[in-house]
Amino acid sequence: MKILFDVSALPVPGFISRSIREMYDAGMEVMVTGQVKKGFKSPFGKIPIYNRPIAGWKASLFFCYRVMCLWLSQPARARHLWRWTNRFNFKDRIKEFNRLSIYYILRPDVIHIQWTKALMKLEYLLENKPCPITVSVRGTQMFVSPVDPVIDQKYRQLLPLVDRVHVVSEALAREVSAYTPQPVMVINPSVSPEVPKKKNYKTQTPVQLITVTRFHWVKGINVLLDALSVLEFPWHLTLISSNPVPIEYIYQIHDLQLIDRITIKHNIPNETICEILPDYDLFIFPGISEGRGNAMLEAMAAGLPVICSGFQGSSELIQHGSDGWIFQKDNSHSLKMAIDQVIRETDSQRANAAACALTNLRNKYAPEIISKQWVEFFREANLV
Amino acid sequence: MRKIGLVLTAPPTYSETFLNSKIRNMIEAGIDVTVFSGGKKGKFFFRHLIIPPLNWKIVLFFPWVFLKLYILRYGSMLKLFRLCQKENIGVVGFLKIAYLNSTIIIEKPDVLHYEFSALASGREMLAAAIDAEMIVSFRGYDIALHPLLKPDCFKLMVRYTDKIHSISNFYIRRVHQYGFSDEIPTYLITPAVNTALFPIISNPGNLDSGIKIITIGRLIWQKGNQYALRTASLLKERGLKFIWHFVGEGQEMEMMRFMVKCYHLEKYIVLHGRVPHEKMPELLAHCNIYVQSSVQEGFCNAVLEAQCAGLLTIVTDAEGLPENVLHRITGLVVPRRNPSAMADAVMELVAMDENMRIQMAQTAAARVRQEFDLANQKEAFNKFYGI
Repeated sequence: MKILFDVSALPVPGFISRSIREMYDAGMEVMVTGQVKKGFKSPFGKIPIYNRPIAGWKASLFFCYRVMCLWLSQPARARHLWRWTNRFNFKDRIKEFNRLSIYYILRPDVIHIQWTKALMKLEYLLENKPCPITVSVRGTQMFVSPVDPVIDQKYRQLLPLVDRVHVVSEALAREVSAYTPQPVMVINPSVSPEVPKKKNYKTQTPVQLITVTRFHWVKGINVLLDALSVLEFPWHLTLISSNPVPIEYIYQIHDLQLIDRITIKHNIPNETICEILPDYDLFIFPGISEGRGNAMLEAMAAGLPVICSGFQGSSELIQHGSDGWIFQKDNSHSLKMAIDQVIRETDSQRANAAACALTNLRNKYAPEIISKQWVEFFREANLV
Repeated sequence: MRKIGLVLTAPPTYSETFLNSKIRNMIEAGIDVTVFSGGKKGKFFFRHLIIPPLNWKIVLFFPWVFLKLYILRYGSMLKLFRLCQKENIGVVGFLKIAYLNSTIIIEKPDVLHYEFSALASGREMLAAAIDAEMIVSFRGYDIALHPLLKPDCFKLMVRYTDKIHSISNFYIRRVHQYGFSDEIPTYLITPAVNTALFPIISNPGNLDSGIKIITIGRLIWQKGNQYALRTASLLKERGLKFIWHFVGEGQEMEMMRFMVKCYHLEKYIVLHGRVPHEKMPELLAHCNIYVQSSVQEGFCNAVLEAQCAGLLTIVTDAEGLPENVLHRITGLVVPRRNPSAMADAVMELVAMDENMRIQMAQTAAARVRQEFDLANQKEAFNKFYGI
C-alpha cells in the first residue's frame, strides 16, 4: 500500500517522524511531502521526500516540473486544477498548484494529513479526492483552534469529507465526533521503553526538576514558574524547549527572581533528552491543554516520577497517586501542593509510582502494538 | 529659534494623541521641531525626516551621503570619529553610525530627544558629536524589557545622557539601578488624560445596578489577561454575579476565548475586541469597577481614564501602577500574578460600605483631574524643554 504523508513542513516533531518510520518498517510504501525548511536533515532514511516550496526560484522550478508531469499524465486533472487556481494571484497560483498537484502526480493509495489545520488549505483535494484521505487530529488544533469561529466553521465543513480520523486520546475522539460522522480511531504515540532508566529515587539537594516543552501559552509555563516561586525547599529547574525563550518568560523569571534557579536549553536532540532524564528527580508537565503529552510519556519511560496537569484526557495517561500525580490545570497553588506532596513521599513510594507508570507504558505504548494499529488504520481507510 | 529633534520609531499616527499633542504644543510654543524616524514619507503637521534603513540601498547612497556629510558637517564628523575611537568603535562602526544617522547630523538640532531609550542604543555619541543636549525617555519596554535582552544596552548611554525623563518613580529608580548618575537632571512626567472627555458617571461607587467590571488594553502578555480570567473563574466559584467586559484586541485573543470556554465563563465575560477611543467614555459609563491585572506596566492611561470617570479601580502592583492608584485611597492595589488576591479585592469592594466606595471613587476622580490632566503635562513638558 502506498501512503503519502503530508506533514506541512519539515522538520517534524519526533513523534511524527517515528510513526512514519514505523509504517515504513511495517512494509508499507511510504512517501512524505511538505515544505522543506533550510538546514533540514532527513530522519526518514530511504523514505522519499517531495518538497513543496512556497516561494522563490525553487517554487517556480518545481511548478514548471509539476505542470509538465501532471499535464502529461492526467491532462484533464491538470486543466481542472489550473482553472481552479485561477482565483489566486500569480504568486499564490504557483504555490497552490505546487501544493495540490503533488497528490495527483504521486497517485498514492491513501493520503494522510498530519495536521488538522492543513485541511483548511486542501479544500480542492477534499472535493476531488484521488484516493481515501485520513487525518491526524492533535491536541491544540482541536481543543484550542476552534475557539476561533472561522476555524470552527471550516472544521465542520471539511472534517466530514475526510474518510478516517486518527486521534491520540479518547478525549480528543469525543471532541472530534462533534465535527464528523466518519470513523475515529484512537492510536497512542509509540514510546520505546528501551531508554536509560532512573535507578535512585532519593531526591537531590537542590531537588532537580525538569520539563520538556515548547514556549506557548497552552503549555502553562507561567503557571509552573508561579508555582516554583513559592516553593519552600531548594530546587533547580531544567527547562528544555523546542523553541527559543520569548521575552515574557525571561521577564517572569527575572520578576520572580528565579534567574539562578532555572536553566533553559533549546534544540536538544530527543536522544540526548532521553539520556539525561534519569538524572532528574521529578518531571513536571504543566500544560493547560494537551492532546497526549509525548514528552511526559518519554519521562515515564525513563522511570521519572511525573506530575501533570489535569488537561483533557490526562486521566487516560496516569491515575493520581498510583502512577503519577495530577494537579488542577492553570492553578499554580495546586501545582505547588502537588510538588510538595511528591517531595514529601518516601523514596519507595516515588519508585513504585514510576514502576507502575512504566508497566502501563509497556502495555499501551510499545512500538510493536502501535505499529499494528497504524497498519490496521490505513488498511481500513484503503477499503473505503 | 531652538531646534529640537525627536527620535521615534515611526511618525505618530492619528490615534497617538499623546505624541501628537506634545509636538503640536511645542510648535505652538515657537520651537522648531523635527521628527526623525523610520517609516515612509507622508504628510504631517510637523517636519519629518527619515532615518535611512540599513539595506542594499546603502551601496547606492553611501558615497553621496558621505560627501554631503563631510561638506556640510565636517566638524561633527571629526568629533564623531574621535568619540568612536575613544569608545573602541572601529572604522566600520563609525561609518555605520554616520550613515544611519546622516539626517540627524545634517539637521544638527540643539536638543536630541530619544522618546524611547532603546532608540538611543547605538546612537549614544551622536548628540555629543553635533553639540546637542541628549535627552532620553524611559517609558516601558525600553527600561523593563530591552535590558533583559541586551544587558549592556546602557553601558555607553549612562555616560552621554544629559537629561532623563520617565513616566514613573519606579522607572526612575530602575534607571539609577542601571548606572545612570543621580546627578543627571531627571524629570518625572507621568502620562495624562483629557479629563474633559471622561465626565464622572452618574453614581460613582454605586453597585446597585449589578457588578459590571471592565478592563481596557491590548490583549498582550504584559496585561496579565490570563490572571484576570482566573480571577473571573474564582469570582464565579464564590457565587458572585457579574459581567466583565474586555476591550481590546491582540495576540492573546485565542487564549482568552479558550479560557472563557474552559472555565465556562460565557455568561460572565464579554470580549469586545477593538473599540475606538472615542467610545471609551460611553463604555466606562456602563460599568462600575475597573480592573487592571498587568504583570508589566509603565503607568497605564486606561486606569487614569477609568478613575477620571469615577469607576472603582483594582490594579496590580506591577511597576508604575501603585503610583497611578493609591492603595485604599483611590482604589485597591493587589500583588501581581495573584488571581486569588484580585478576587478578594473585588469581593472587598462589593462588601465595602457604600459611602466608603463613593468616597474612594470621588477621591480618585478628583486626583486625576488635579494631577494627571493634559494641561499639567503640557506645563511639565514646557518646563522640561525650557520653554
